[in-house]
Amino acid sequence: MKRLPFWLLLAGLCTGPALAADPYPTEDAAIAERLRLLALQAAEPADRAWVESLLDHEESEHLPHPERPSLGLPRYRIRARAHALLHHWRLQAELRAWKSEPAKRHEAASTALQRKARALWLEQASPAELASFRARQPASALDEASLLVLLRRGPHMDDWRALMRIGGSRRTIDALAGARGQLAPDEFSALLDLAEANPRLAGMAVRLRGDWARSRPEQARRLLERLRKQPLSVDLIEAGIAADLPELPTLLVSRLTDTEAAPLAAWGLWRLDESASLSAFASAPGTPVHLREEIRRWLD
Amino acid sequence: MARLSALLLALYTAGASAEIVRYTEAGTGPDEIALGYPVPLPRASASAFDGFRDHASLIGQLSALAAREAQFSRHELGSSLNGQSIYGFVFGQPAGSAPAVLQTGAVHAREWAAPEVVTHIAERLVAGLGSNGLERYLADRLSIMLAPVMNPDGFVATQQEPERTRIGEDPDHSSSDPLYPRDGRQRRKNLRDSDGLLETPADSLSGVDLNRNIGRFWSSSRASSSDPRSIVYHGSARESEPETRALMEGARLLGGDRLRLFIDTHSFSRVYFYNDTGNIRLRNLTRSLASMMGRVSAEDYPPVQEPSQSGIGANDEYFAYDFEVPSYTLELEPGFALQSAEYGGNPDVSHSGFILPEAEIARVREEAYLMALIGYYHQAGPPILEGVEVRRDDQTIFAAHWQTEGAGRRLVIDKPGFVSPGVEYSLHLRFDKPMRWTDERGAVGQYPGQLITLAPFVELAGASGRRQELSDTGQWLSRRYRFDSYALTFQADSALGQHARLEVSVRDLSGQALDADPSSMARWQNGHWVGYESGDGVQGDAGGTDSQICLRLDSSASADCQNSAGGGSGSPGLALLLAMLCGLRRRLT
Repeated sequence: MKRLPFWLLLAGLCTGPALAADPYPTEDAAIAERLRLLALQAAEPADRAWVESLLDHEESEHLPHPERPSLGLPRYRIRARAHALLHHWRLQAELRAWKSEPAKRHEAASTALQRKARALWLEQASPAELASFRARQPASALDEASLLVLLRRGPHMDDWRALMRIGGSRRTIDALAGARGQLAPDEFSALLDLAEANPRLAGMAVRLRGDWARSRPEQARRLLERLRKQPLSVDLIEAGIAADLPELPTLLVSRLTDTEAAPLAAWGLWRLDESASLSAFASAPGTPVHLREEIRRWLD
Repeated sequence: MARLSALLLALYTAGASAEIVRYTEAGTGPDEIALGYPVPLPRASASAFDGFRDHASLIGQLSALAAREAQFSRHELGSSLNGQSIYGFVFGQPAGSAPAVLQTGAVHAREWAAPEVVTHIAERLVAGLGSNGLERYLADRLSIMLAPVMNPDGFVATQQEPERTRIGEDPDHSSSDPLYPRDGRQRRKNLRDSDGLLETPADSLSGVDLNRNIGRFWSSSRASSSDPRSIVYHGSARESEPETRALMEGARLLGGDRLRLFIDTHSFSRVYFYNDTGNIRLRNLTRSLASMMGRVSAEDYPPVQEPSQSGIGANDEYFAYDFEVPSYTLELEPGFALQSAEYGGNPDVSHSGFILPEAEIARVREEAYLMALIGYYHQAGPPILEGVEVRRDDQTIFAAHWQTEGAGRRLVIDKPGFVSPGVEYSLHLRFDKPMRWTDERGAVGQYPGQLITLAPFVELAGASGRRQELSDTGQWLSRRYRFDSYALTFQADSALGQHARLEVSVRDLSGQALDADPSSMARWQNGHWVGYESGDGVQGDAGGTDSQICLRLDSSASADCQNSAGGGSGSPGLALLLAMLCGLRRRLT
């Protein structure tokens, strides 16, 4: 690629990729530049009105859409920039309110923007402010992002428990996995129980337990007991695999006679590549026809 | 924003050499691109969460469901270049035995929302099998094949590098968009001539675009390329890729002539792309179906028509032209104008629309499910008035129903009683599909985004020429399916004459009117409905008012009034003859 003149490099610094590559700046490029400058300063009402007017702005130049030529991508992303700028201003205004109006900290955060502002404030709050916040806001009233921030700033079991109840993302399980060394085994196990009872965390939580059980015989025994008696699931079987349970194949074979558990047990044996057990089960007279056909397909 | 500009400056001063960069939430390093939200990372979990499951978990989940449920089965459609199985999961009727639908995902590796959506559709359909709702109906009528990952090699490669990509090396776009990403998290193509590893630059641009490798328009457009480095490389020959052939195998398994709908799930742009094959009825149906599905979303997904009789070698073209079915490239959110700025993301990140925040996927999954569900329901066929019963004090006075016989239906009068004018009866209308949706409170409501009249319009058209509108104070009831029946009370007007024809107008959940002559079963052929009649008996795609049932209003009235008035036997009837004569007269004048 050819070297670009200095003025264009400066333009690149100012407006990002689109303008930097454009040797003939257009009106849209100028708008994009003005938007960039506005992001660095406090917004006046007139600026805000101008940015809002850009939310429906149609650009004249487009980059190729990665999928179809009939639909281009706006070259200067003016609408996206305007949208992001308004979002930024609203967030900053909300954050200022959190900082300057202590009473606000006791209100419920009902919108995504308010929750984001709360999490940002919690990152920046002084220890005294944090203590005051904790005293007034029960952990059960907070969202996942705020609880994750609180736990980063200082672990409290109430926060952990609330997080396991309301969390839904891998960040919650990642945080729990990361805290394994700091939590007592019975605390960690109790939190895993809570996470497994939360449908959105259950799959990741039981696999984390399987991983944990590899180095903890009592947890391995507990997992084995569940595999023996409880309804099977893909995640529970995967936890057994993660725990390196040597009894797993035998146990799954034993559950093939249980009508409810048989399909998942068969799947588990296929997952373990236990073809001999599967073949025997597929040809057994009591095997449901659809499962027999399914297993035949797996074995093919 | 300033950091990205610094990255650009570095690119230019270094002669814009290719570089590996890392996506971060709010990165500070020189080779970092801040998305403005947590970088999505795949996790092992068969059950869904607020994020993206890894490939093994998605396939494991559906395989286990296939083992458990008799009406959900797994089919290996083929293998990828690296030997990974490509699966299609069939819900409902066995593949090849019923009208069919095919929905695919992850043709493009980086579009992680698509396999989540297709897997979620399968999970929700299976979960609904035990109910009497739409899922049960669809299982009775259709073979629905869901293939969540059509490009497993590419998809796994993106999941192995969820935070990194390469920039500054695209032969066509890097000059205009220096942050244009290729490979790693932003790989689009399969792994033809590529090891899928980000660190080996020699093959990072390699691969075939699996949405440019099929059909009559292969290699015919500038939107595909013969350069193997291109993001839209069409491959060395038409259907050269095993992943493309797996897609064709899916269609073959379903029985090509049984296919009624194809949806290839992609991201991003929030549109339904479709084609104009020159078949006007197919084009109109395809467009209206897309509008209907698109309205389900809070943010509309508009239909976007591709230029007529041309294409780029995409999968939706193959199904539109070769199978003559409504066929779409569904581009999930975000919209193309805002991309990830919709979610508070950094507007400077090139192609950020491909990286949907984890916090959004649960909502997107469910919304896409509701879009798919109404599309499948529509293509399962237009509704018929399957049976009618008139009761008085829990005693059936009159009953009739349509019985399937071979390729058609015959009207069977189960109880040929008569209705006395001035006496109160209850009239029960039974349809062959769920006709109304259940709102959040469990009451009859509109399907999301749709607007139909909730109560049927019912009239008696008397032999005397007098018409009587029946009470609209009826209610929807559930018999075989949820809200598949409607009951109302009425007293026949004595001025109607000796008998009266029951006229019923109603639209199903998707806005389809009744197949006014159920004797000929509606089926999909040559890109439109066949055997779907209007009230005048004219075949088309709109349907109309059913007036096949005749009620005797006097004990002395002729017992065969069903046939005497022209309905029930499947003959076009007097109305059709009149319509034909009118048409002929117009043409002559």
